Amino acid sequence: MPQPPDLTTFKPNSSNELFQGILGQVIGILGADWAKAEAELKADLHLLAQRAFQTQSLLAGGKISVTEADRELHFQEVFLNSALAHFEFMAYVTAQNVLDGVFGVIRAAIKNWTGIELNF
Amino acid sequence: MRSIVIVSAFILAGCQTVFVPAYSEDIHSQLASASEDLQRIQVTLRDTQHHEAADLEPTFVDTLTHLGQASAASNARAQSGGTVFARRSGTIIAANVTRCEVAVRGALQASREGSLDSGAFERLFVFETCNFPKMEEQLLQR
Repeated sequence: MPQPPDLTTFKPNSSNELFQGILGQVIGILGADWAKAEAELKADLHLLAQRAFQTQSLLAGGKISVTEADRELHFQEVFLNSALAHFEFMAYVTAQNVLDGVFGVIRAAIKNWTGIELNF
Repeated sequence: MRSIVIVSAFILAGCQTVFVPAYSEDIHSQLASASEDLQRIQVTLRDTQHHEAADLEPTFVDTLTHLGQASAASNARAQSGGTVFARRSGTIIAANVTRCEVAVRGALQASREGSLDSGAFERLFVFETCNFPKMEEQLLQR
């Protein structure tokens, strides 16, 4: 699997070498962003299970009223809505990171060959 | 002259973020202040067995003021220019700010009814719900 290139020295001799550099960069970004988004959602679901179970136990034990339990479940749902919206948000962040990453590699290749830093 | 305009437009387009909106220091600082308020509420609830709703009221009001400003600014940004993707991801932040406001109002209501303790505050997920838009604004810093 291609590795992310060292941008200070990356100097591809062919379009295929440039492609391998881009691929290495993109795979690194996608892997890291996906792992982060997945871990975050898993942690959110874990917390939700713990607290929903507490609500259930407190209601069963008569420690909280039906109204209170209802409110707690409602806001647990609000939390999960936000967590899922955040998951979608991360897709846009990842797309932006890929865009920046790919042109970071191309910019570095041009700079290492020509000494010219393009401002794109 | 025409080529200068075209080159300038090209450079500006290249600098723009395509999939996310531009970072806003104002939105971030309002959300950070709201988060500090919520931490204060959390600590008060944890450290006191019994509290009067009036003790927490000013902090709740301050939180909602910060969130109101963050909401107005994030909605305005989501409706302004940029690509369809930047507007969509900006709308997600604005919607998460609104859900945070709703969660804070829920906790305030529980406090006024005398049923807000440290455990209830956790089970209402106020702090966590409000953490999403703050985290998202931070991710826009490039």
